[in-house]
Amino acid sequence: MDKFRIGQYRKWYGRGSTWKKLLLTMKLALAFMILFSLGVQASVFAQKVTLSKKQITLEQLFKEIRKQTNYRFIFEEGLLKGTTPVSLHLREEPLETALQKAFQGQALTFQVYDGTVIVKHKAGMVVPRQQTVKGVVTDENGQPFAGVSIRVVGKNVTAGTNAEGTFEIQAALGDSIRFSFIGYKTQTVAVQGSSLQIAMELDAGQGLDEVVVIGLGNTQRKISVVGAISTITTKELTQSPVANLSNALAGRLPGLITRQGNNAPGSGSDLYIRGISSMTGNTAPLIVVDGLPRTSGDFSQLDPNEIESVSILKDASSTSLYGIQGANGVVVVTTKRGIADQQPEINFTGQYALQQPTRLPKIMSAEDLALYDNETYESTIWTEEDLENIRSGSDPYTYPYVNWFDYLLKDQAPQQNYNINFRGGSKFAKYFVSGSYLNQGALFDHEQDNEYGITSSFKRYNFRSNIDLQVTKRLFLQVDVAGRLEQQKGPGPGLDGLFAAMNRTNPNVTGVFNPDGSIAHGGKVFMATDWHNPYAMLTRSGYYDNNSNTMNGTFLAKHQLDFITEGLSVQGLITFQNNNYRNTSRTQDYNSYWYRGLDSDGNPIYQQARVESNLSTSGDGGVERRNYLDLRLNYDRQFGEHRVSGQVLGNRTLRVNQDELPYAYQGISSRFTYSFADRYFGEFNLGYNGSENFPPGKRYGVFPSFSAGWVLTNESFYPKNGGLSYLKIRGSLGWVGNDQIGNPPARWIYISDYTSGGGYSFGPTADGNGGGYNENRVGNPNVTWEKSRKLNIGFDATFANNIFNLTFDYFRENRTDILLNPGTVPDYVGVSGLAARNTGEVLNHGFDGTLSFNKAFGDFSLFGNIQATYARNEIRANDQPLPAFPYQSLIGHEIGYSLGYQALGVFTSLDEIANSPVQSFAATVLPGDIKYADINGDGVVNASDRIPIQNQNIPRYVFGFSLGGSYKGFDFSVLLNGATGSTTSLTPNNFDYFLRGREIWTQRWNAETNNKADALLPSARRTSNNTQFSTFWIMKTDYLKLRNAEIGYKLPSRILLPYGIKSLRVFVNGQNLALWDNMWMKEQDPESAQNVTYYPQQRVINFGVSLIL
Amino acid sequence: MRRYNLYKCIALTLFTILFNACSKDYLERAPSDFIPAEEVFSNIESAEDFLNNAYNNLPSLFKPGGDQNWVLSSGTDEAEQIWDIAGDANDFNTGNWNSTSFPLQSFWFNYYNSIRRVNNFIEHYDMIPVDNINPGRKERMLGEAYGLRAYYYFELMKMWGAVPIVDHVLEPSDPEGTILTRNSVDEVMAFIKGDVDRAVSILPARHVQSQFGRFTAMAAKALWSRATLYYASPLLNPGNDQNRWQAAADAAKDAIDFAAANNYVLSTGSVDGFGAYERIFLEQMNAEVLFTRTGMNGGEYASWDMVLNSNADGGWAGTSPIQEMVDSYEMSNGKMINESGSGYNPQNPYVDRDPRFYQTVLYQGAMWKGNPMDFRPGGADLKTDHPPVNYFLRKFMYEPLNLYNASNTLYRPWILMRLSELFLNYAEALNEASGPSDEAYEYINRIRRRVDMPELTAGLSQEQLREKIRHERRIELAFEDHRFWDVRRWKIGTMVDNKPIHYVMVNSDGSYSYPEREPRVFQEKHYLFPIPQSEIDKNPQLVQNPGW
Repeated sequence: MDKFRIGQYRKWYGRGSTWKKLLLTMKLALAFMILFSLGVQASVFAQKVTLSKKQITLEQLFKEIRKQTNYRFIFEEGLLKGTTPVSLHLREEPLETALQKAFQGQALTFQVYDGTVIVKHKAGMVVPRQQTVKGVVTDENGQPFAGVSIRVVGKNVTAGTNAEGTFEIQAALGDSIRFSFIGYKTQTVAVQGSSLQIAMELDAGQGLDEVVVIGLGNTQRKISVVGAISTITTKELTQSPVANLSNALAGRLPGLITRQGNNAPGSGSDLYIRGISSMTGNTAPLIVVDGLPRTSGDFSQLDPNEIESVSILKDASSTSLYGIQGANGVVVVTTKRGIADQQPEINFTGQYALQQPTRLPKIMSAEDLALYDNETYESTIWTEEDLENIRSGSDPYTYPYVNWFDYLLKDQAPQQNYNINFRGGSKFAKYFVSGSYLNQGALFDHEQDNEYGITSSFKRYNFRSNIDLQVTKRLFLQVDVAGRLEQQKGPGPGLDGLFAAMNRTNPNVTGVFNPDGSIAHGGKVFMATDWHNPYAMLTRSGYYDNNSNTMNGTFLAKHQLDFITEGLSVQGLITFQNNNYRNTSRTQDYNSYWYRGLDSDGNPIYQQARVESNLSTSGDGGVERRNYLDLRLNYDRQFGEHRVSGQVLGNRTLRVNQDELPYAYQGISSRFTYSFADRYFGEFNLGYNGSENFPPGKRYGVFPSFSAGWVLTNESFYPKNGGLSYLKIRGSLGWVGNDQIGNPPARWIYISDYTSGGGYSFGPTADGNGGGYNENRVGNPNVTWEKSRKLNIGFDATFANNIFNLTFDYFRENRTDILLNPGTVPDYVGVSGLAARNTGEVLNHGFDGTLSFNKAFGDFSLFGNIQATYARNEIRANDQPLPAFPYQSLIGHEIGYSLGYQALGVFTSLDEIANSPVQSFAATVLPGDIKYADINGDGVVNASDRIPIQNQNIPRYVFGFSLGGSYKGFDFSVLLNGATGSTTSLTPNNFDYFLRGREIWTQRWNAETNNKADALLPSARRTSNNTQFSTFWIMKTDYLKLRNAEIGYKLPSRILLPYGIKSLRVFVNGQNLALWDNMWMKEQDPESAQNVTYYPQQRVINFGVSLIL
Repeated sequence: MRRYNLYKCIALTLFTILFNACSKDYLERAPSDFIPAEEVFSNIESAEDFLNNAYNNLPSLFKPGGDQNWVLSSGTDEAEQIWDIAGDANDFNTGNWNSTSFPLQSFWFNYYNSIRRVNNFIEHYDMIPVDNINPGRKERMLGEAYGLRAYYYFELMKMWGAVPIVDHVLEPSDPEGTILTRNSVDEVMAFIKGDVDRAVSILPARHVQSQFGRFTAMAAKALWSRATLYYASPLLNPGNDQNRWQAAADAAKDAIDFAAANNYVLSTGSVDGFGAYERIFLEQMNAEVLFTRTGMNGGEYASWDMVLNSNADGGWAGTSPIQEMVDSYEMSNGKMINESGSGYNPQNPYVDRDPRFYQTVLYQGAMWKGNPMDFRPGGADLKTDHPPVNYFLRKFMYEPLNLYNASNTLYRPWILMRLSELFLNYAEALNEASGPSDEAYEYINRIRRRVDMPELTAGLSQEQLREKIRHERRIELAFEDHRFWDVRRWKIGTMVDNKPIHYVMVNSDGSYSYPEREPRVFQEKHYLFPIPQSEIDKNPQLVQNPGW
């Protein structure tokens, strides 16, 4: 233990090197901070002191004398405690005289030599006697607790508990002793005797005095929060063994809807706060990491170990500070910081995981596939003789059967993740330093055959250093530096390209190799020239290597202005981020041959299909920069039972993306709160900000919000012993904006302009000699941002002896001025670049809530929560004319509906076809084809019979159920997460190219064996009758997932302590462990079913060890 | 307290600086690279570039703006689109098209988009400076603008009949000015005439080689011949006004004379092994070509070959001529195959046919890229993944092109107008206006003589000659985007396109059979295209065409 103990130190008001560095840092700081220091005036007379002060503390006096004389003062920490301020009138007095005057009546004396003044207790004065205090500390289970940090408050006396949980420390009667351990509530106990018994309690983080992070870097006591905010902390985040942070949020935050669409290494989930409210604009929340607006990628590539908390701001009162950017909600990420007066703590986490696909497509057997092909093309592609060969498998080159998923994929891919961080601090400096490494492997087998030795992977290195400095009593600085490096490597065609090919290439299309070992291209039937052998795509087509590095830094300075009035402070923040990337792709073609059997002499015949090319290099690179600056005045004060606070803040954001012109924001936010006796709370927030994207004179908008809360249980009339121990009712109403409008987001659309492009080659060659110029856009001079009016009503309650907590919020959002492409301008006007107009309206409403409980039963403690989110939107206006058939209007439907046919199963007989409305999508309609409803009853099924059908993959309901507990050193947790109300459409294109040949097709309609109107799939024949967009191909993607589970064991500290280890926990956890759904095609993950060709979603089993030194 | 006041001052100053001094221009970032109209038209180069793009909606083999991989011939009795994809030519054949969704629907917008461009150009014309090195350039551009506008209005009239005339740039945000009604066909013709006359008066008969593809006086005259012919035909001339036929004959004669005076002559004789007929389509600028769509890049030309060639040659086998088209080729003795004495043998069908057949269609046994075409079971050219028709297109295809490695590519313009058409227009209009005449015979026979076909039998009645002229037009202009529109203007669609089509099956023993491939549907309403329903939804003043 000794090596961790910090010896007693002396406080220096001297020329210490630390002080010098601080000064240097400070000078490099904000200009106004420098000005502050320049403002301090002093006249210097060596060893003579001139001073006229009333009620100056000794500490201030020493500083003043130091300034005038350059003498240093040395004294024991805490010595000046209890000394009384003095009033002095000195004019050119010698130093000794000055000190004698100051020490009159104090229990102090001094000695001066060699430019130093040593201050100490006057002999004989009564000083509290130091004694040895002994004691024992136990953990929540009553077991001895080793490694607990112990400190005498206000003195530099520290100790720790040993393996038996006991400790000894020198303290005086009346001193306070503080006990702390990470993850436990810190306890402070007054010394009243010579022994102490302390029982540490787990910090469940539910306290009402807990501080909640709200917008713009502000914090608020939990009891006074009247907005709708949900938060999770590092503990939950680190439970999910995912490479991408956004994948760890599913089911954990009420109000957050997630969808994990793409699953390639490094990729993450789409996030929506309370669903979506715009059909064309950006619907993703604003992401803010430590004050700086970021891209979702910057958020999702953070290491969870660096993060203190993730909050989502849902209603207007919490987002209106962001004004024009706040309409889709805000995700606020706060990284970890150091802890004052704490010994350095070293945290190490190492994890090794295995990833495997949750689902892979299943392919028909060779014979089924051949029969299916014959049906598909309505001709005898495979004759009886062929079928015989297929069945016998005697000629695998002419009749190949390769399940590409089996052949090219391994059972599992590894993932490794290591983090080490250091955390601690002294009275005036705190630090958190972290570094981590992640390596996520990909599922491909045979990558060793890649000519360039490339193995697909995603690697990431994160580092961070967060430093806090209390420079003076009033000046506080914060300096953060963080960065990350990312590298993605893979085969030339890309992971998605490869999966698309594996999906498209049925097993009987081509083998892997020819008899002579060359790459095969086709079996009995030639494979089209533009198709590829998937194995060759993986191993012979070059590779890509994408690198990016991101660097960001924050400098914050805060100065108390309590000399003006108590509670007033000023703060400045500058933060930047730089992201550079370079993606390099080196691709080439390869030799492949169509093996056509043997000629009459018995020699094999090969026809070259693809021709090898040189490796060609292409690539792109770029840079994205973000700068954010804000300056604010804060006021926070309590008058009796009245608490008031106010803030006025000015900020600017500048974002530069590649060579685009910068995106700029500027604005003022204000925030005023009032509360009385922790019973009544009122808040007014105001964002006034603008963006360069709008016409002059229309750039700024005002975004106010009002909110109020009432804590019923704090009323004197409320019975103290009622079932409810806490109840707060709250509500908010406000306006926010969204300037990321249009699809794709367009800039400066108030401007009409021309652009070069197109062109036409005249003359006898295609040399492009005629340039082109176009009317680019006919501008909309009235363009403005989307406006959102948000109402939120909710309550928080604690009941049944504080075991249960319930939070519930109802919300209603009216989004107007949604930017839409004009649908009412006739085509004969002839404009191709018609600027969008602010004409759309959407209503979005729903609720979210959490019920949680927390209860200990002796050694066993249990906690859990259930949370639910429901969001449903409705289009109110969409700039479309009333269609000829009013039932084709999308107004009144949810965003994501589109026009399609209503399927009525499949035809089972020619008679039925003859007696049904005419369907002329194809030349012939046969039994086994899909039957559609004739909505307008005119006897013909055509485009007029399309109706709005649901084709949106954002769920309406999302819920999460988590349960966890601990017993002695063991702990466990599970998280179930479900979603309903989303669908996916197996679009005709997928139907045609990617879903053919899957095993599910054995359940198709068949004249003999499956002649049913409700056959799962229509006949195999390839007809455009069956590829119309219809309800037939709409599949519900409701699901329930065992999203996460974890079992951990913390080794008893008495074993660890002799090795200097404070805590060692081993754990196993997993992600996406089980899945239940109602899809009829169980070959995709419901969340990514839309993207049938993508990299599969993964199940992850992870082993880890977490060590605290 | 002096120090504290100082703090206060500094803080206030900083706030003031941040939010007053800078805010005025912090968001003033309107980009300087936005180019206004004045900048485009005050420079003759960019003004010309602006006009160049007006050429991009001219038709081609694959229709620009539509699905790129099918040809219009597949929507009539010339060919079959092998893949059956919603929105392609098969919709014409099944009758599955309606005002909400039909193939070529985008042309409504595309043509009006080009018309807006031309109107915009004309409105800014005065702003364009004169090119001192090439003083005629500015005015030439104006002529092109009028010529192109006439071309696009003709295309609109061909598809929809009466259409709104937009003769100036419409302001989209003006709800009053954008509500138009359909002008009559007479008004549209008068408008085309005005533009044609202006183009003729300004433009030369031909351009220097580097400018081939630009509109010429020749193209304007040929366009007017075509427009008058359509205007006189039964579809747009239900009262059979004979004056219109006479006007069409005059316009054709005027164009023919103008062509003769400017060295546009029939292509004769073979060159580099390519026959007199097929070389028209493979040469960069054949002597009989009056106007072409150039401006495609080489990739797109390769794509013709890619889509249309047999799988065995590396193509996609997308389009096949149908048996009805093959059967319409005369025997080399000038008789139809079903005429007595024709010598036609259905079990040896490809001998002694009109020489143009061999230069247009690939059939069983035809030599192509070094191999005979083989459609027998197991043969390399038999399409196995879709029901085959067992013919492929040879016209426009370039035999030396190797699709496997994209070598020997050839840049080919798409011919929009050539001299043969004027001859056919003239003969047709003359026969309709005044009955059979030597002049009418002469112009048909010029076309037949060029390919060594016997001359027409003399002494035909007006009806008999009409059939011969229509037949000659079908053969001579096969797959050149004429038949689809001719069956409409002649109003014969309900006869020729409303019955089953056939294909050829080459059996293992080398015998042939001719099964039915699919029924086809052509209804009365199909003669004119429907106005897109969405357009009527936006402007109920537009009256839909009959039957839709």
